[in-house]
Parts: sequence; structure tokens; C-alpha cells
Amino acid sequence: MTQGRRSLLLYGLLLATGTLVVVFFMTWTTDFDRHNKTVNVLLEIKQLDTELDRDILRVTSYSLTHYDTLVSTVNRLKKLNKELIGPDLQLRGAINSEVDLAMSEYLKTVELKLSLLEHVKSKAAVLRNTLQYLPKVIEEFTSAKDRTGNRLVRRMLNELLAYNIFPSVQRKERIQTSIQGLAAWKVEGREARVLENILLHADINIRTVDEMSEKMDRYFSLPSSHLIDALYASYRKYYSSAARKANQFSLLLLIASLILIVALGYTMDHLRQARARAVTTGKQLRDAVESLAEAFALFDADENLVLCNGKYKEFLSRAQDSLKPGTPFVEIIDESRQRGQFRERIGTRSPFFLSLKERRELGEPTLLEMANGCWYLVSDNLTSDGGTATVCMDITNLKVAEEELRKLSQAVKQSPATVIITDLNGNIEYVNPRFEETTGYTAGDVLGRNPRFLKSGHTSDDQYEELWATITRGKEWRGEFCNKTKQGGFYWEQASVSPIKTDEGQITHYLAVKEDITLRKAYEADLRRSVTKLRHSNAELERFAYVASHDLQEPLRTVASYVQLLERKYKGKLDAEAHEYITFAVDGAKRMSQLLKDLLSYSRVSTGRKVFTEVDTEEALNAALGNLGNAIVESDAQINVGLLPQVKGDAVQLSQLFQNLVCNAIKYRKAECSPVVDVSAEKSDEDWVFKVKDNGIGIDPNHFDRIFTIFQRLHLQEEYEGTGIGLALCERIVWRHGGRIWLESEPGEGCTFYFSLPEEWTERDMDDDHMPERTRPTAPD
Amino acid sequence: MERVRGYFSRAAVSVLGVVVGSLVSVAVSHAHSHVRVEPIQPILRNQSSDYQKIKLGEMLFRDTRLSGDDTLSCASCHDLNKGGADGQPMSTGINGAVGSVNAPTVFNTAFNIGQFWDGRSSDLVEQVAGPVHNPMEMGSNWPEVIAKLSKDGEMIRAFRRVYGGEITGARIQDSISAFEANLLTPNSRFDKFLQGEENALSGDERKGYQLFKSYGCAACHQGANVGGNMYQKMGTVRDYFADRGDTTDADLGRYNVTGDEEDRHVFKVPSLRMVVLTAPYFHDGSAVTIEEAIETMAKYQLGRSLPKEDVQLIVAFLKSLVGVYRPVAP
Repeated sequence: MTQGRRSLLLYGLLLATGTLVVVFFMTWTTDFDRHNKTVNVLLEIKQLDTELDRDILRVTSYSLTHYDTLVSTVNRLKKLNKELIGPDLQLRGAINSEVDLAMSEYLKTVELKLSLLEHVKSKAAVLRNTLQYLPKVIEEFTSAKDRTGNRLVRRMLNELLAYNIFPSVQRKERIQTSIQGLAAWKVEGREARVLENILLHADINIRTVDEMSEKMDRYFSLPSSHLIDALYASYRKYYSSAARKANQFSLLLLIASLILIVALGYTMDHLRQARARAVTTGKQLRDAVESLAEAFALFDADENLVLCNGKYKEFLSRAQDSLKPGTPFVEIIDESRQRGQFRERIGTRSPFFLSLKERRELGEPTLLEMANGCWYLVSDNLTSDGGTATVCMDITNLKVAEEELRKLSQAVKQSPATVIITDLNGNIEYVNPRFEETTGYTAGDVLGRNPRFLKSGHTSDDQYEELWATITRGKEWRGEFCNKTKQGGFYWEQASVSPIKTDEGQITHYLAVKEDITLRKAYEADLRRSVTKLRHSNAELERFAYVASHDLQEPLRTVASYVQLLERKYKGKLDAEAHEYITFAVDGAKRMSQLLKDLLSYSRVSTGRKVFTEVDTEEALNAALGNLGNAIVESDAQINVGLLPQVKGDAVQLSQLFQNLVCNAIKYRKAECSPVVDVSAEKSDEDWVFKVKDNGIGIDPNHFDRIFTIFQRLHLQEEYEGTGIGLALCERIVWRHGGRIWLESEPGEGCTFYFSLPEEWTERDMDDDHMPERTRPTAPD
Repeated sequence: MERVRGYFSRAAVSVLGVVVGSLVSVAVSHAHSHVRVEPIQPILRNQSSDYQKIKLGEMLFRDTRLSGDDTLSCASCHDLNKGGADGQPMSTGINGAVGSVNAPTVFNTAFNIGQFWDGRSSDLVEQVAGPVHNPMEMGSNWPEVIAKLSKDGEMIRAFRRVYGGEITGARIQDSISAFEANLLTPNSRFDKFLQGEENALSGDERKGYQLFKSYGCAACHQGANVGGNMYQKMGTVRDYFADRGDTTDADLGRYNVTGDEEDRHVFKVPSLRMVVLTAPYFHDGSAVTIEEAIETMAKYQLGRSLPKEDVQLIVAFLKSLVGVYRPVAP
């Protein structure tokens, strides 16, 4: 429907309604009650008027003994006349001039009529008395003897009575003649007084008759009855025309009502459609609001809730019950606060708790922290109808990111490494404080500049090219620079230069993280020098050991051979003391030789090494046991061997390892019983752990460290012979194979040596090695 | 001449009526009434009565606050114990002002054709306002009276009870007039006589009544109130005022109301119901005794002089007219 048609309809409706109201009041003119009352009053007035006309005749005929009824008639008439002009009937001044005129004519006339009536009443009383008195007084007079006088008086009385009945000019003249005659008649004494009285009353009678007849003439000439009829007629005329009009208006009323009903139906249909549209629009709006990613709520001008979406309900989850349309904003917020929806810090009050109007007037969004740690940004906008649309955006991620950024930023600031960020052209956008410390330049000095001012000239151009080639490809470059401080000093930096990329891989900046390695450089140089020296001296030492042990063997063997030759040749020729000396010398030479042998094998662990091969440790053990055959037999030792694995290693050295350990186990046996040695192996993680257990004298744990030291011995040569190299050699072999060696023991309780060998092992470079820890490892499971 | 002739027939009827009326006995009674057909009618208590309103009217009737200086009430000049009048030739108003006419009785005034000597008020309601506003009488006005009465809680409650509203001049008039309309004196001996109690009157009284009628007093003093229902000139036969002299404006009577020359010296015929209690007499209070008043009336209204014994008989009759006022019971 177009706007024009709608307004046309509206005007039509207004017109019809107006007509309806006007017509309704027009039909009111036919107030039947009032009409009936008016007609009744007029009819009663007419009746009373007639009664008055009848009563005045009764007055003049003296047939009324008293006037009370007449008075009540008059009073009733006066009352009706008052009613006629009173407000109840709405006759005077309310209908038309014709009625008004007829009424005022009537009222004037009736007033005159009543006034005449009063006069007639008075006159009638006087007349009545004269007519009653005159015959009596004339009787009194005529009782005298004067016949002439009597006759005259009687004639006068007759004439008077006749005049009373039929007043006429002739009779009046005649009676006046009689009266004059009587007045001229001479009588004396009491009779004279009586006559005078007769004449006085006669005169009054005649005068009163005249007056009354004049009043009666006037009374009956008054057309009061006609005037009432005229008033009634003009009222009827008005009423019938009013009734006709009222009928017409009733018809109009009917038509107007019909129009209104039709228009009403039309309007209602239109309203129904409009409502349907409004409902649809409302639904769409609600759906739209519901689909918003942000919490949204709409408040009316009085700050009562109109609608809100699910997100808003999540936002104020603890005040869900009050989130109904019509609830005041203040109530919702109060409830949320009471239920601890927000994190409120003591002493501060978030602008969120202001009224919506105040919040709008702030002109900027409000930041709000929730009890669950979420952050919201709340913005309020004025709607066209004075309400408020509130949008609450969850910015928790942003806030977390910001916090993250703050921490990172702090880390960068406090980093011991220099951090430089440049744009794609290499111009500096950021340097951290460490940069300022290292280079002596302030951030102000360097921002916007290319970092090439740091070049010392000691870094090659190729390096720079490689650097740029790497980072422009999006890769990280690592390398070292020698740069120059503001003061001109040089310093070394280990740098990591990498591009900063967006999620899409777009390079936006370059980042250089550089560590000052000037000191480290110096230490490294020192260390390298020391290592070189140490290698030298180690090599010399080994060579010396080898030479000593190998080359010293030769002269020693010579000494021993010749001493033994001397013994054989001069057997019996020398005294016992000399033999004893020779024995000492041979023993000493033998021990010396043994010492040298051991020393040689010790030094050969590294120098005489072989490439690691697959070694069956059982074979290695058997080889060792073979070497120890005599000792085993002599000591009546029992050797128990468990399952032994294959490992990578040096078969000779491993055999040597077993030999030394088993030899020790037999050597340090208890005097009272023969030795029992258990050899076994167990798998532990990546390693094989070998165990050599004896039932010998045991070792005090205080000495565990010392026993692996070369030439270190716990016992006297006389008690247990040995060179003090055995366990040192064992340790050296185990270590070379990448394992460790340790022991468990208590004095008198026997002792158990363990050593571990990795299943797969590339041998250690003996040059780089350091002496292994001899601390007691955690016991294998 | 037409008119004269038309009147003849009516006049003939009237004179014939007089003749017939005097011949036929006055004792003939109507078939449907127990009351004798007499010029005087008994007072019948048939006033509607609203007790609360009448009570309020009586309170106001006796309330001096209706006068300008709180000295006079209606009852000051209309003492119910003095036949409803004050016994003075002329009443005294506030500040000693002397009125211009004799105070008429307040009893039976409901029967009157109009109120005041000259009938200037058509009814009692209208009449109430007269003395209150007359500077020679109570010398006040409604706003003043209402202001005084409105300070009286009892009065305010009484008005609210009767009228459901505040005090107004119209309501004061209404309630006082309601009280006055009930100031009736029925049950006089004469009324009992009229209602058929032959022995209610003594012989003298009955004789007095016959004289009252035959002298023509009853021509004017008739009806239930024995007067009050018509106007008559003071001095229809002889000139009363010429003889008395010193005419005043008040002597003009109804002329003051209508301005009609024929109403000069015309007054409302006063009621004789309480007449024996309300000396002195006439509008000017000139007749000190009832006998004097009867003689004056005979002289000027009837043109006759009455023998002393007749006067006494008439007085005896007049005394039988006095009835009993009984306040309205709730």
C-alpha cells in the first residue's frame, strides 16, 4: 500500500468518526423524556388556564366559599410557568425565536391574567359584602314609617341589583339619578346616618361593579389559551422538524458506522499484515543479532533490555536469569557483580559500571576484565530511538598476545645478545640496549641507518654476499663478524641473521641476533695452543714410555742374563752370601722386566691399538684363563663362567682385562679357603655389564679411588707381589671401549668388579680423552 | 357593546349564585367530605417532612449568626411562644433600628399566597433571604453568614448530612423554609368543630362565628389560614390612612411591588389563626387590642360599627382558632 493511500484512508476514518460524533449528538435532540415532559407541562398549563377561567366565574358568582383551591391552582400554574422557562425543559432560548416569542407572549399575558385575578378576588369580596349588607341596612331603614323614602330606597336597591346583574350605561344613569334623589332627600337623626351609610355602600357597589366588570373584560380579552396553543404549535413544529432531522441523522449515523466498520476491517487487515512483516523483521533482526560473533545487547531509552544474543548471555553468564526483555541495565549489572562475573580491582571502578548514557558520553570503548580471565572491549552506540546498542568484543586472545609480546619485548630488551631489526632495505628499525652497550652507539644514533657503519674491514665481502643471499632466500644465516665500536675498538660477534616472515611467508623484516664472542675467541686461541702443546708432550711422553719400556728391556735382559750366567758358572764357587746377592739381582731384574712389560702394555693400550672387531668375550676370557693356568691350579681356584656376549672391541686388550681381574681375584684370596671366581654378563640398556666376583679379602671402600691409580698399591711387595699397573691398565682398556669400571666390596667380604661395554662403540680418541671418573656409578639393576 | 353583552350573561349567573347561595343552607355538605362547607377550612397536617432538614432549619432559625452583629435570629422577632411574632408594634433590628411594619406570625405561613405584608416574596424560600439582608432587620449577607457558620464543625457536619455538601445561601434558605413550612397549628377547637365535633365550640363561640360570617369578615378572612390567600385594600369603605395620617412608604403596600395605582394601600389579608396571641395589629401595629382591631376593621373595611357584645362574641370565636404546634418527630 502506498503512503498516499494510507493517509487518504486515515483522513477518511477521521472524517467518518467526526461525522459519527456529530450525528450522534444531533440524534440527541430527540430526547423523548424531555419532549414528553414539555408536552405534559404545556397540557397542564392549558388545563390550569381553563380552570382559572372557570374559577374566576365562580369567584364573581360568589360560589366559592374560600380561595384556598384557587390559590393552589394559581401556585401550581406559577410553578409550571417557572418550569417552562427553567433549565430542565430547555425551551427558552434553546430552540428558536418563534418559540421564544410565543413563550414571552404567553408569560406576559398570564402574569397580567393572574394580577387581574387577584384584583377580581378583592373586588368580589367587597361586592359580596355590599350586596349582603345593603338589603339588611335598607330593611333597617325601611322599618321606619316614611313610605316615600322607603319606596325610593327600595327602588334604588332594585336598580342596584339589576345593575349588578346587567350593568349598562342606562341603568347606571338611572341608579345615579336615584342616588342623587335620595341624597337630596331630607331626613333627620338616626335615619339620616343610615341613609348616608346606604348611599355610601351603594356608591362603593357601583364603583366596584364598574371596576370588576372592567377587570373581567380585560381578563377575558386576554388570549392566554390561544397563546398556549401557539406556543404548543410552535414547539410541535420545531419538534417534528427536529425529529425528522434526527431520523435523517440516524440514517447518516448508520452509513457512517458502516463506513467505519468497513474501514476498520480494512485497517485491521492492514495492521495484521504490518504485524506479520514486523514479526518477520524482528525474527531476521534476532537471527542477525544471534549470528554476531560479538556479544550484543539492545537497550531502550530508559535503559531497559530489549534484546540480546547468546554471546551476550555467555558474556554475563551469571546473570542469565535477569537477561529478559524489560530488565533495567542497572539490575543486570548489579546481579552480575554480586555473582562475581567481573574481576574488580580494589580502588578502581571500571567505566563499564556507569549508566549506559554516561558510558556513551565517554566516547570510547570500555575495557572489562572478567573473573574467568577473559577480556572484553565494550562499545556503546546511540540508536535512532534514543536507546543503546552495546557490542562486547572478546579480546582475550589479543590481550594474551599483547602480554606475550610484552614479555618477549622485555626478553629482547634484557637479552645479553645484541638484537637488531631492519627493514627490507637493511635500515635499522630497532636495536636493544645490549646493542648500545656493545657498540657504544645509542638507538638514536643508528635508527634508520644501514648497519654497515659497524664494518671493521676484517670481514670479507664474500661473507656479506653469502649472508644476503641466504636471508633473501628466507633462510637463516649464521656466522661471525668482526665489527667496530663507535670508539673504534674491534669486537667479534657470532651472528644469527634471519628474515621475519608473515604467516604467508612474506618477508617483512630482518632480525640479527649477535653474541659478543671476542673473549671466547681469545680463550679458544689459548686453548688451542695448550692442546697442541699437550699433544706434543703426550706424544713425547708415550714415546718415552714406549722407548723406556722397550729399549730398557734390552739392557735389563742383558743384566739378568749375565747375572744368571754368573750364577751358573760360579755355582759352588761363591759363598751363600754371594748367591743370595745374585738371587736378589736376578729377582730385581725380573721384577724390573715385569714392570717394563706392564708399563709397555699400559702405554700400548693407546699406541699399540688395533681396529675394533667383533669379539667373543668368552673366548677372550678363556685366553686369559689359559694364561693363568698355573696360578689357578696352584691356588685350587674355582672359576664359574656365565653366558658372555659378543661385543665390538680389541680382543687382546679384552683378554688382558679379564686376565688382570681374574688374576687379582686369585691373588688376593683368603688364606683359609680356596678362591671362587664368578664371571658373568648382563644386558643393561645399551650396555653389557660384566661382573667378576670373588670371595677374597675385599677392599675397604675408602681405597676404591686409589686402586685404579697407576703404581698405587695397598699391600707390601712381601705380602702380595705386583707392579701396581694392573687395575690402571684395566680402567684404561674399559675406558677406551667406551665403558666404565667400578667395584663393590667390604673388607673380608670379597669383592666384585663391574665393567660396562657398549654393544656398538667406535673407539675413543685417546688424545682427546680425559681421565674417566672413578666415582661409583649407580648400581646397575 | 359586544363585550358588555357578553359579560351580562356571566354577571347574571353570579348574582343568581348569590341569591341561591343565600337561600340554600350553608349546612349542605358535600357527599364525599366530612368537613362542613364553610369559608374556613381545617388545617390538615399534610406537609412532607424531612426530619434532618427541618432540624437544621430550626437550628438556623434560632441562630444569631444570621445577623450582622450576632444579636438577632429569626426567632428574635418570630417567637414561637408569642404566637410566632414579637408583640411589638414594629420590630427592632440590629443596632436598635426600628422596622417599618409589624412582624407577622411565622405560623401557618405555608398557606399564604405570598410572604411579607405586601406579598413581595412568592414563597417561603425567597422570604428567608429578606430579613437577613435588610439593614433595618438582621443586616447581614450570605457570604458573611456562611463564613461564620463554616467555623462551626457541628454546622458543617449538619449541612453535609442533609445536603451532602458545604454551606450555601440557597441551602440555608431551603432548610429554614422547610422548618417554617412545618410551623402549623392544627387541632384547634374550631377545626374540630369543622370536622363535625358540635361540642367543640361554646354557644358564644358559635355565635361569634355566625357574626364573623354575617358581618362579611369571612369575605376576606377565609380558607384554612382564615386569611392570607388574597390581597385587599386597607380601607375599602372609608379612607384609613387619611384618618390615621403620617403615611409612610410602607403604607403604600402592594403598590411598592407592582407599581399599579390600584394596588395603593393594598396588603395581603393577614391570617387570623393565631390572631389573639399576636397583638398589636395591622401592618402599622396601630391597634393595641384585638377589640380595637375588630372595630377598626368594621369601620374601614365594612363601613359599619359593631355592638360591643358582638365584638366580644367575635373575639371568643377567634380564640377557638388557635391550634397546637407540634415539632416534627424523627
